[in-house]
Amino acid sequence: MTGRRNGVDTAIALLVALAESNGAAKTAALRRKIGAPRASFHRIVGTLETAGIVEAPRGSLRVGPLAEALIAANAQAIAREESRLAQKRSWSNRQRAVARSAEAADSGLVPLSRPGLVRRSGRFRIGFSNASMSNSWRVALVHGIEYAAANLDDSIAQLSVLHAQDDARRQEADIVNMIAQGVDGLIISAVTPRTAGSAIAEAMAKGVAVVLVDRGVDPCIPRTSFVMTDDAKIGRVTATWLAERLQGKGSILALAGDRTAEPAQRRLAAAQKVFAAHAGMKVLETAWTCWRREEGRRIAGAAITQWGSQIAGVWCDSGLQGAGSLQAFVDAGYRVGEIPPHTGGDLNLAYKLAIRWQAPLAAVDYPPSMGIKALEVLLAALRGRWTPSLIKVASEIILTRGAKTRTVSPDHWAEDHVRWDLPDDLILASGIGPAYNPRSFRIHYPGNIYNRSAAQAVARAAR
Amino acid sequence: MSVRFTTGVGGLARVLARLVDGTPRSVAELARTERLSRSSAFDLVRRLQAAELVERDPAGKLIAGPRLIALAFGRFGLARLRGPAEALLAWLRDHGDAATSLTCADGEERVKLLSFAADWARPAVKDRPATLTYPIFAENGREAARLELICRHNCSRAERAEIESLALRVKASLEHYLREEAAA
Repeated sequence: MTGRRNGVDTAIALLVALAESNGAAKTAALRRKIGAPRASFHRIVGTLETAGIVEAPRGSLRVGPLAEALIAANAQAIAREESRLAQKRSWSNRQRAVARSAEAADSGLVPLSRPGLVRRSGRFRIGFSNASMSNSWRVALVHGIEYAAANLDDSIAQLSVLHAQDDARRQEADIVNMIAQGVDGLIISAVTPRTAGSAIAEAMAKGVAVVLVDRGVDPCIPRTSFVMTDDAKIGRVTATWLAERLQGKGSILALAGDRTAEPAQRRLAAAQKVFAAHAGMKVLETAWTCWRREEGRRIAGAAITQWGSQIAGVWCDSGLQGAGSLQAFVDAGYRVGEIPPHTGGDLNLAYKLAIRWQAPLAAVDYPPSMGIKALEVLLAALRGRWTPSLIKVASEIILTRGAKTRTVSPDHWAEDHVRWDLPDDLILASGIGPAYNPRSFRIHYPGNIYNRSAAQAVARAAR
Repeated sequence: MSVRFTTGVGGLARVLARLVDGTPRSVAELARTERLSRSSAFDLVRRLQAAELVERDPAGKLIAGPRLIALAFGRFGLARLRGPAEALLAWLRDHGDAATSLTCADGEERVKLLSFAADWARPAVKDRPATLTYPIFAENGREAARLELICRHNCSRAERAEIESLALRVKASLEHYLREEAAA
């Protein structure tokens, strides 16, 4: 190698080489590695040694005493950052943010994602590609991400939100557009696991960090992290409760979510496994409701007409359609205390109906607060931190009073969980705080105007 | 190749030494306190940033960069563990609801490399002894560090069992990354 390199570059190369050598190395080896002349090398070492950055015992070089002060300062900086985030977070005190039991049951290593090669500092441009806006839960997910962006606005230059309206091709185009617009990081809730894969791979290849939320993609597709909740637990716990409530025998309806959505498939599969283990349980009908209340009401209404009092229980993976089913029983003239046991939470109306009509209910809320966690993880990755490549957000068991069974105990009673003072379409585990009202939600974050939510814009366009 | 030695190396050493106290500083402030011309200071910072020895916080001020912190961990032979340890200890704190820290031996004393306070008692746990301690072994069987946890005093037996299994996962992961990064 020929040419001249100045002392600063050589000193930087020396420090980088020392870090790569795990903090200590033979002087001659380091000098060879960075290609510095002997005299210059020793002059630079002398200067760094005077400042306490390195120590040079005979024939070797190692990190100097300044390291201890640096480690203490780093610990303080982490504590400051943690405290700042804790103040901005609005996780309810009683709600755990992550799922302990599910992780404790696993015995493998904790999978981590390495920092990306392209590292940036300052404020980041973030894109959120949302699968759809077809129900209240998805509105709460968008609101959660916007809420997190507003609280973390000192780290965000712009947040743009695009809704794919359940169209996988449209989502692919949305992702490609956002990459072309120069986003630093993407949050993606994929319409289907397969179609978004190539766009995600393209984003990762270009150094854009990608955090998947709620719905994953093919495990072979690289991603920074996947924030989800334990869907199998939702299916398993609610089905177990229903089976125990019916003492292992009875005919039930199974109203699942969206046929194309991974979470709905996983929940139904887990529930079917439980029902199959109880010989006395008979599933009269399994229907997909697209998590729509009206669809749940229509299917349950038709089933009541067909089977009437034979229906001993209704399994729903969410209250989005569960509220429709409860309403169908009310429509059919069932009186207080006569509606068979139901499952499925999330939606305020489902809890209101179950309590008002004294229908036993079990629910495991599917938390839209995943969106808040996804943005936090994405920002950490963009700052060059290692991040967990899978995060399971906690989901809690909610039962109506007196509905506890042999193995299913509640984290909270529905009577304490419901919000009578807030609208029916409120999603309860939003993580946005007790004052969250989806109807009057206004937010300001870098990237929106007039405090309008991206969810609100879609509602206006639909009207 | 020859090296043109300039007073820039002295400036670099002073800038790094100044940032060690953890206070974020602007380039202009550094130029003033270290008696560097603004253009030299900006040029120096640009090179240090490119090497990840310094980085900017969200406010645009300079702080120690990930490579400088890894270098500091290198004093105890743990430069490669800094990134994974930060993520794993935060993960364990969040899942176990326990204060977590990573310490290592420095002669007779122990140095706290990283610590993450649990939400339930940020200031109160500082001086409490660890409830659970796990040695982290390097490939040669030497104890490289210790993972320490302070659990909530009223945690149930079942919770404690879950925290222990989470901590064992983190211990195994730390040992894995220590070996894997060394191999890399």
